[in-house]
Amino acid sequence: MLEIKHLTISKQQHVFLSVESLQVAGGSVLTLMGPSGSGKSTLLKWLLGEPLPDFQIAGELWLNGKQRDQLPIHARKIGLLHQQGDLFPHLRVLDNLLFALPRKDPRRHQAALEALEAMQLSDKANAWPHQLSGGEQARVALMRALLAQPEALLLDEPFSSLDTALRGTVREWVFAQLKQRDISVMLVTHDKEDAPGTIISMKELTHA
Amino acid sequence: MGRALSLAVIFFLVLLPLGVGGSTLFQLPVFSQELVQELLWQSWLQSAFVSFTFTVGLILAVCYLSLWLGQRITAGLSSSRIAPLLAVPHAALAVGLMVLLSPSGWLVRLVHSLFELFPSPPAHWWIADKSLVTMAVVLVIKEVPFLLLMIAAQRDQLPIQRWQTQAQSMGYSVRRCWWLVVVPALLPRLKFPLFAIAIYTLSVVDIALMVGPNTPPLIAPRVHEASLRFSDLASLEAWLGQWLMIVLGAMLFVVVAINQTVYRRFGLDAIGRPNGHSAQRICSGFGSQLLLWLCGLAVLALIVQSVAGTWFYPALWPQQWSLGRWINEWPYAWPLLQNSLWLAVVSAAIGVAGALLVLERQRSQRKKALAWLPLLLLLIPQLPIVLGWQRALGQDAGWLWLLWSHAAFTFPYAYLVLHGAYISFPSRWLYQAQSLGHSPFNAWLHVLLPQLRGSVALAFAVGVAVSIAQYLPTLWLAGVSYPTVTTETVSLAAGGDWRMASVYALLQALIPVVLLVWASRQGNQQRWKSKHVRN
Repeated sequence: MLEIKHLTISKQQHVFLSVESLQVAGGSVLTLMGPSGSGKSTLLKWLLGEPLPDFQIAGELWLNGKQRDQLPIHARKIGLLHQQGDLFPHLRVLDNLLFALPRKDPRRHQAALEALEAMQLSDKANAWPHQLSGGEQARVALMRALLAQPEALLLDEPFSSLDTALRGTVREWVFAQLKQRDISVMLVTHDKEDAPGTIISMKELTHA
Repeated sequence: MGRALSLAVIFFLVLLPLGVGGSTLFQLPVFSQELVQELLWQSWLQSAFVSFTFTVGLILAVCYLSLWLGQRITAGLSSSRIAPLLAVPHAALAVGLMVLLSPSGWLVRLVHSLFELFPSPPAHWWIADKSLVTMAVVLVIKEVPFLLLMIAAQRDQLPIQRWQTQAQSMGYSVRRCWWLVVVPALLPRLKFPLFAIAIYTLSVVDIALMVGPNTPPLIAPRVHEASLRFSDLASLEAWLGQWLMIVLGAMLFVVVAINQTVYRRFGLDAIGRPNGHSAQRICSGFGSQLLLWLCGLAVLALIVQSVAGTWFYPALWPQQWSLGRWINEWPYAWPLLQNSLWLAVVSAAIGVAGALLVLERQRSQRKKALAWLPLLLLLIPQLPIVLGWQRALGQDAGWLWLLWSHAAFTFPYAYLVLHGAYISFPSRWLYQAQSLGHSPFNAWLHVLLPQLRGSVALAFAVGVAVSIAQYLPTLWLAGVSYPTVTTETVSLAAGGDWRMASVYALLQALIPVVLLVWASRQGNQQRWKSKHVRN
């Protein structure tokens, strides 16, 4: 369960975003919608742990009963998926997946290969990211995020770069994977069709 | 903490060295108002005036020639074509160009063999052995590639393609958009590199000794010459000369700063008039080819000269070929090459590491502009600084100080070369890596560093080239114990022994050329992988 408590984000003494309490259960998706500049991305950055030097922030972030807001990004167990996918261009597909697995894990190669097989992308193991289609990039990026075994996942417009035909298929596959792993998901999107669970506008969130 | 460190750097690197020597000079009996006035008004001001006007002319020529050529410079072109031009050290290029362009050089011989115009070397040839024109040619050929590299780095940070599309949709040609929209945005970003070129031109000693004029001499070789004489008067001259150079440096800073204002005020009006020719783009392509050809021919001339036996004028090729010069000189040259090599590799590595540290701090503070402090040693004439170091450390300061003095100059160049790519690296990739469980250092090591491999390799190679080319710090801090191929090249060329100088110039050019070609390959390999993925 992902929980936000008593969160206030201010900029130049002006309260920009205020959330009294918000919960996202494991395996469910909360979708945030709102116009540009309403604070969606800022909220995701705070959840991830990115530095926000221009903001004053007070609030607590809890994940599965542990407070995480004081932890650095790599210790929070929160994954991130951008619309660009962000596969590292200097690593081949298999190496991108291996990047998410502990170096000392003796089964890491096997796990990465199994992940590729599950996505039916075994033949792409040695491909460079730019040699994949948009849908393949999105799937590999999600699988890479999942291999790191996050307890929550932030999705920032993850399907917006895909064409309409591909979008539905990839979306269904992604949410099935997330539900299966009981991960709390916070999704930011402009498109209602991308939102499978509860939808909340940034305006409602501020009054929550 | 940062401010205290800045002040300490300024104090120990600049103020202290400049102050050393000055306080004791005032107690000398030779120091009198009359003498100072006599020294200044009789000849030093003349040298200062010539140096200043020469430098202003040169930086304006380099600036606008580079901007003109820069229209055609793309990221790929920058690394593959600029690298060889950057690699050949100034001193080696000066020797090569003299062999190529001097009155008895290859060019005159070629013209004579085709048209029989010069049965003897022309008396009033446009490029003399030692003249302002010769020095200008050497410096332009060396500094234009450096500024082109800076332009290429800045181009990557500007949405030039979008601007050109917009401008073309309004009926402007690509060329006019370049001069009306892109150049005004580029000029402020080129302020520090241009100023570094100005300061280098003002204070360069080795090139001035080799190909610069003798009547009147430029100010830098005069201060150098005065510092070699051991008398109270000479010490006073050197001290006054170094302060004169600092004043000239400040004046050059003003010139560089108002350059962009003058361009906006007058240049834009001139370009605004429709006179578009596509011929200009063709010429700019020809210009960059000419630079490459001149540089390549200079290196070829060095090779031929170094293995020439008997070669009387006006023969186009040597009558005899001989490896004797190489064989005889190798036992003397090998230790110098070793000194050059270890100094270059270690100081370049230190310079790149320092630049990465500074840039990482700058990136974490979200400061995108070039900072002046890391560039400090490029913005103050080298000669007074190194003279101060020598006074503080002694004439044979040892290998550690020699290494430090080289690293002090490789660091700012590494910072300049790395800045654009490092600052524009998308942070989200680092956060992405951290969200996968990697520490910030691991993310930096495994995500940022490999993706900037090409830029880091280029910065290292430029650092090596900078160290190899260092003349004054080597000569003044450890010239006796650790001579290098550069000190020997300059010594031979300044004495007029162009043939022997060719051997050392080739050795001097060898390491940077190999490294810069390797670095450009690293950049090209990396670029094709990331071009489709990076946003």
